[in-house]
Amino acid sequence: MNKKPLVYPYIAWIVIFTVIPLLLIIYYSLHVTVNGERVLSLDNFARIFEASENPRNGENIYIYLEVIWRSVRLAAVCTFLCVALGYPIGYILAGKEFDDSGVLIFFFLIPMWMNVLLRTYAWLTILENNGVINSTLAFFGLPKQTLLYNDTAVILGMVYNFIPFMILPVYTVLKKLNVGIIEAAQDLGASRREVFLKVIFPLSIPGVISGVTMVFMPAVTAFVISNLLGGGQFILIGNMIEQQFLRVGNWGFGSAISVVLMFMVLLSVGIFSLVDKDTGSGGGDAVLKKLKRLYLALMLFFLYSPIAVLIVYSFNESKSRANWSGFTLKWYAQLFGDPGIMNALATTLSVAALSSAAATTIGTAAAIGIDSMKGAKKRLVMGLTNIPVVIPEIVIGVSLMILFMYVCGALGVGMGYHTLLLAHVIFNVPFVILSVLPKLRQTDENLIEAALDLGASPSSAFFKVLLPQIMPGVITGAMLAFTLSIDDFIVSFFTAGAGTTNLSILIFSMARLGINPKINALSAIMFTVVLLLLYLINKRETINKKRREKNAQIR
Amino acid sequence: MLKSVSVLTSFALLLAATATLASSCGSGPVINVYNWGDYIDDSVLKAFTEETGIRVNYSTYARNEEMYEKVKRGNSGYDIVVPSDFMASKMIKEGLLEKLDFSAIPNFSNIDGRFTSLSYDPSDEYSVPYMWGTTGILYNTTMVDETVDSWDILWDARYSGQIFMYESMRDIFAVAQKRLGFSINDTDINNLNAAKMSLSEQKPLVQAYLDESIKDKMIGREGALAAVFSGDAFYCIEENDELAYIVPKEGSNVWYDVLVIPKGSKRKQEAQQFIDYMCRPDVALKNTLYVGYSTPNKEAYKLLDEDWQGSDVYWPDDDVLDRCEVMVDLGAFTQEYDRAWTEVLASR
Repeated sequence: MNKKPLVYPYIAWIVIFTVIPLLLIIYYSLHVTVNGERVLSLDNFARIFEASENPRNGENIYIYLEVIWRSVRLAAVCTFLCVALGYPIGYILAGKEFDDSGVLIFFFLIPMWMNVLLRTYAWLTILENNGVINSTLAFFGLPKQTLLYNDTAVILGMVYNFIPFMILPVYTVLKKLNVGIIEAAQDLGASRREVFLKVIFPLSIPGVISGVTMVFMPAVTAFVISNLLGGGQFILIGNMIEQQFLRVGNWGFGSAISVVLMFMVLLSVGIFSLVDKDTGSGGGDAVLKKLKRLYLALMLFFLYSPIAVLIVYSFNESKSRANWSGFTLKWYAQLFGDPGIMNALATTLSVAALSSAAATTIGTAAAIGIDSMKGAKKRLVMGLTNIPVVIPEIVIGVSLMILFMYVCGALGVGMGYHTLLLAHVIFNVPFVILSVLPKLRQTDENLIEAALDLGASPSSAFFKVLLPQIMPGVITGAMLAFTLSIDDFIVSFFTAGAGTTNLSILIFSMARLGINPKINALSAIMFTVVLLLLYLINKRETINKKRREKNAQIR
Repeated sequence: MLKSVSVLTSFALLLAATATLASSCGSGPVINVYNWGDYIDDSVLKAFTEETGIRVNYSTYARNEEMYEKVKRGNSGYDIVVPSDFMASKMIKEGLLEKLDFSAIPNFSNIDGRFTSLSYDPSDEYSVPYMWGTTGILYNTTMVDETVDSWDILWDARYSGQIFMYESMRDIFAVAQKRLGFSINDTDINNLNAAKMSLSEQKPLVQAYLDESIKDKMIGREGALAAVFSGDAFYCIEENDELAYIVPKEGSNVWYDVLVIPKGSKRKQEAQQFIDYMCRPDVALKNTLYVGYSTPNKEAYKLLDEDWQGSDVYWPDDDVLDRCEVMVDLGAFTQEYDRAWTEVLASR
């Protein structure tokens, strides 16, 4: 079966939707407008290194470099905290005493399925001067604390949002750890401490590194969290880019910052992939079972209390969050009576369904094509495929915005639902490819040859032989695409046109207006639906598994 | 497993379809309206659709610049946007707006002559005023135990962490410029730098730079002082009577937000119908009552309660307006403002 033709459309796809947008960003970063004319210049980059006088003490400060440094420092602190707090969770869950850890790890991942904006918004209610924490302090006669609009609030928001990205890889690696090695070490006289430090931890390093990458990257490019919890007092690189593109209209400077950000992220990914030893952290001594349980409970409390607060306040009669003035369902009634919210819900769901279907088709075809390639060509295509996964979301957002603007301008159509949908397909395709490729590698090429020899047409060989084998990968890819699409804010924010509003964009604009119990009601519903769906999927899987085991026994 | 995925997908599509149905019963022309957040009585939109059969796709923004950038990119798809005075004149100059056919807007006659033919659109060709007001200081009288009459109080270290400012470039510069005795339309780079320094100096005292959420914060006693628009102040005082509003003695800004149609609108006819509807006295009344901003509609004004008509927040006296300036577009010099504002935001 000749699979090569599958590659070429995909290469065209990457060139149009990944390479050209990035080139546009680079183009803009290298040009400035002088008297209405665009001229080649390095001024945009030079500006990043400009100093200006600090009005408070007259010293020179490098404001833009400070913003960059601040972003890196915050992301580093956030990553460190995620390792310190998340590693033990992965470690405990992977341990022997939690046979039901499959369910337990689920509970740590569920918050990830909640929209990032809702998760961040929840903290507003908790951290305000008259919010949940300060009201509690005041109740016990303790002095109020300033908790919101500072770096602590931003770091808290980041850790809260990103810690599942640390738990999952650590858990996965430790779960796969060969028990025999640990037993061997113990038999050879290693103490529990030594077993952990010399055997378990070094073997779990790949998980830690992928966790660090997965936390550090979104943290360094964060813009929503710093926007909502930083209150303009805390500008990060992401905010600078957003500001230059959407408010100031200086695309050159915005592009220059994007290029710098992209470079930093690629550099750090390179470093992470080179590093094979990381600094140790996490408790060395084996902890008592009770302590482990306590720790898990505390972390679950940390993950769920904001969601619980959101839900509780969705039933509060008063719009103000400081006091409870009685039970009401009116916010739910208002929610369903609000055409804007219902419209946004429809957009979010239809974009998720359509974009994941399209991305699954394109991605599966491309993966089959890529799998048949070899050598340098394959590495090149894989490298290009990885670009959208690796570069910051905000850079994808602005680069696609520029591309769509040109294309739509040339075609004389506006940006709208179609650009939003296309953008989602674009950032979903690589995730499908990366899910399908491993399965393709496991398939036996001879089976297809055999099918063809036995007279199957290429299409029936594909549908009856190849597809069933790679199906688990295809399904994982589709589900990943669906989830990413529902959760996405940044790319949508930049690529949706007039009157096209999905839930994330709507929540963002509502959150800017202040606390609104309608959002709380919406989160309560979304949380319940997610919980229900995950429960159903999980249940199906367990049933299937049991059935399989039963069948195996009968045989 | 495949089944559960297809079940999930069809479930999502089904939900999407239901939500679409719930949100948009019936068909007919649709206009895209892009307005400031929380700047209309929602029931007005529903009533407009019921009366005219024109559906409204409504979305919001928080800053003039945000709206401008979207419209400037072209093919924005918006049929109605609501710039402030200086932004309207900039958009007119740059050819971004459609000329209105005022014969299709008979209710324009309800607009008070005070608010027509103003400098940003001197011969009333492109815009119809929607709301107007001043900028001043909203403060909580239980937390501020002194006479508030000067912008200086927003630089007073005693209120550190208790001050809110708008995250809006021209408005925030206007505050600093008036405090320093400059015009809010100043185009001297040294004066602009002084204003920039002044804002950076203020930054450590400011709890947060926010948008409309300042209202919620001030009502919820989250801060003591805020520079706000009179309409927002009026709304807050209605909700929490500890609050008060003044226009400082150094002077301030009087502003007008106007309804306009961006160039390239495919529904110009319907958009004009929408503008006309907004000028109907009962509709303008609903909006001003809901939003709390002052209406330029003289017929709607007549329908207001006496305590609204007599409020010096809602309807400032002439001596207040005398010390207020109208903002104008600064042309190419806006770039310098952009730069200065970016530096203020980035500074710590």
